[in-house]
Amino acid sequence: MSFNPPLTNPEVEAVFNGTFANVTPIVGGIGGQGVVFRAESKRQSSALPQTVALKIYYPGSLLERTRREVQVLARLKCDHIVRLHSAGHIVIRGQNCMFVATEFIEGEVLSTVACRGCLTANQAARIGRDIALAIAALWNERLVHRDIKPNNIMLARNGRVVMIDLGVARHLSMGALTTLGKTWGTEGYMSPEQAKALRQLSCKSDIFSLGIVLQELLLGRHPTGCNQLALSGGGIKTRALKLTLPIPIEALLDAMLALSPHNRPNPIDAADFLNKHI
Amino acid sequence: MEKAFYAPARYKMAIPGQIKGIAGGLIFPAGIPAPTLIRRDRSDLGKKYPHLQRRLLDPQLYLAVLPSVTCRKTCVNLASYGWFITEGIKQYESAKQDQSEWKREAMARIHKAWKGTIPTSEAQILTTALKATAFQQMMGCEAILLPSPLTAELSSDYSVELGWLDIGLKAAETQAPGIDRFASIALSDTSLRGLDPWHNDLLTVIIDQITARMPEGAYIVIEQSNEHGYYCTHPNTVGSLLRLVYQLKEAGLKRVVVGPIGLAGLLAAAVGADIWSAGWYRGERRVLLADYQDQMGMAVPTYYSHALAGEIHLEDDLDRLVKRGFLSQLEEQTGASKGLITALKLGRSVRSVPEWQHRQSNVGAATEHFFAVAARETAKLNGQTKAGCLGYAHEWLQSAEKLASKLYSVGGFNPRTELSHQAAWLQAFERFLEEAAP
Repeated sequence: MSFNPPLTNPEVEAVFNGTFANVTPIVGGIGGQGVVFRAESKRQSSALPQTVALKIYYPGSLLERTRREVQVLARLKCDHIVRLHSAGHIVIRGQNCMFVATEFIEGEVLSTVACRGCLTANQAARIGRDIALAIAALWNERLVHRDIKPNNIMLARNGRVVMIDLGVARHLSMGALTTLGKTWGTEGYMSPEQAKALRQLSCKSDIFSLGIVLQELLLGRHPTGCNQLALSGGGIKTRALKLTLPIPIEALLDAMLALSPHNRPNPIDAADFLNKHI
Repeated sequence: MEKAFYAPARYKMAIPGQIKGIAGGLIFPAGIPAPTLIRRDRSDLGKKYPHLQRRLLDPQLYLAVLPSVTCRKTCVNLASYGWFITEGIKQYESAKQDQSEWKREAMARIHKAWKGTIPTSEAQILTTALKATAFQQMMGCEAILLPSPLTAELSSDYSVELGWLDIGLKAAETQAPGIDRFASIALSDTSLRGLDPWHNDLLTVIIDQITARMPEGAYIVIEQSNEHGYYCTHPNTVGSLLRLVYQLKEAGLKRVVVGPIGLAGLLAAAVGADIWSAGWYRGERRVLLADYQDQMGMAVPTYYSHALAGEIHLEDDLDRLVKRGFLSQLEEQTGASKGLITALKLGRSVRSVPEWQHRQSNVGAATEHFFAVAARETAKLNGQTKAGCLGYAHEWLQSAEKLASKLYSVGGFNPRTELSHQAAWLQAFERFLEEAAP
């Protein structure tokens, strides 16, 4: 599903009737569910971000999920989760589409950062702490992100670490929205229970994914080359990856990647622990 | 914290004899109407029944599905607590009527008033959770057991139960701040028997979801809808209990309490449970919905042998076994059994000891004996390492299984002399050791 031909900047500006200006496409902003633009908000409010990432969903794409993502973003107050600007429906090319505008983060996604080489234990621990806090904030609303990966985490120019894209986040009450046995998420980052489409996931599944992200940042490559099958018995032990880390961090990473979710730390505990070791 | 054995408390709350080591009580609303319980509490429950100084109350929401037509008495008891859905049952008011009048009226109406369902809207669930919390707080319970419906389907995604838990946690935090909150896990054995517990995704979900919410503890009740004896005989049911207890503790829950599942509760204590509870009567050592029907039954005594991990019927079975030379293996010394053991050693029959004679309702000595052994064996677990506790349980089950096999060859027993669960428990425990031994 996509817009064919691609949406043009004037077309998008016209649809929003002056709410957003200076609309430009974002490099790599064409995704499976919609297309993302950078835009300037014309609404004057100190509480709202002025520069936004404007995601326009393809017609018929996961309307209910998107609506819930918006509800959640509106409720959440966490520095490490992207802030909501506005959301709603637009008619574009005669079809009803949803849009979500969130703050635009000036910076890079972690996948870009990782391409430049390994991070130090300290840098990785700081990212780990902030994303663990974001996972905790989501879990407080009984949400599981389900797609924690370097592409969904931004490192802002001011050093802020921000989780973006809650498109596949799942709430406890969303059973009916999930096709039985269907797995959402990205190969190589899913917890074993997520990969086998367990009926309910908890924050511990996101903690597993975060463990993989941290190993990737420290190694400068994905620990299993994105091979999900290699994670079916839990993550690779940090020592087996020949990573030299302070022993407490190594122990935490291994616990985050435990096969059984109940053996993984809670996000708040993980964040506290990492904070002590930064 | 030390491992503890709690006696069940229903209408009958007294513990026979001078048994030491019963650390607390677990109150079951199905067995006592709220006004009676409140009145007893006003006259200082803990003074009259010292073991109830430490107490828990199971809100028993899992009994909401009881049919009121056949379970009138239980449903009236439950309805009196205010957190079951009823229509047209007035709450008891001492100024207007006495308790027996209220009960008579309620009994006459309950078949229509009892809805047999659980609340479904968030607002109703919150009201239920608040009422159950407030009552437990008023009763001075040491922790709040959060109400939970019964999970009967293996294919359940557990979302309804988690909804109850989330609302219950918030309700208890608001209503009773500072008191520990225990998530209730009420499972029918129908959802457990079909799968190896270590590959049962329902259990994985339950353990993961509950520990991710970080309550202070958990309370486990297993409804044995497929069992008819006093002992749980399916290895997957017992194995599920062991897995739940072990992994909930492993994930850091402060306390895990095991509701009535007979002596399997002691096994649960050996793998990590902090509190277990079982009584002598059938209704105090298993949860089976059919047990709540309005039937009059008279109990007869049985002799519990811990070496056998089971009981022996007293009409003929024990005498026959003594004649076959099994007394030394079955001997279980407690204050209550002393006279019986002495008589049997002297070649006399069970019939010669009045307090152990096979007669209806002659269960005082048998009950006291059972409680004494349960408390004594729980105390043995205290002060042991984890490995020591596991070793204790393993040895116990190995020898019980051997003894049960020997007795089985004698044959011709009353069904109350149960000899098949020992092998199932040993099987479940050895499977547990394979998966979880430190």
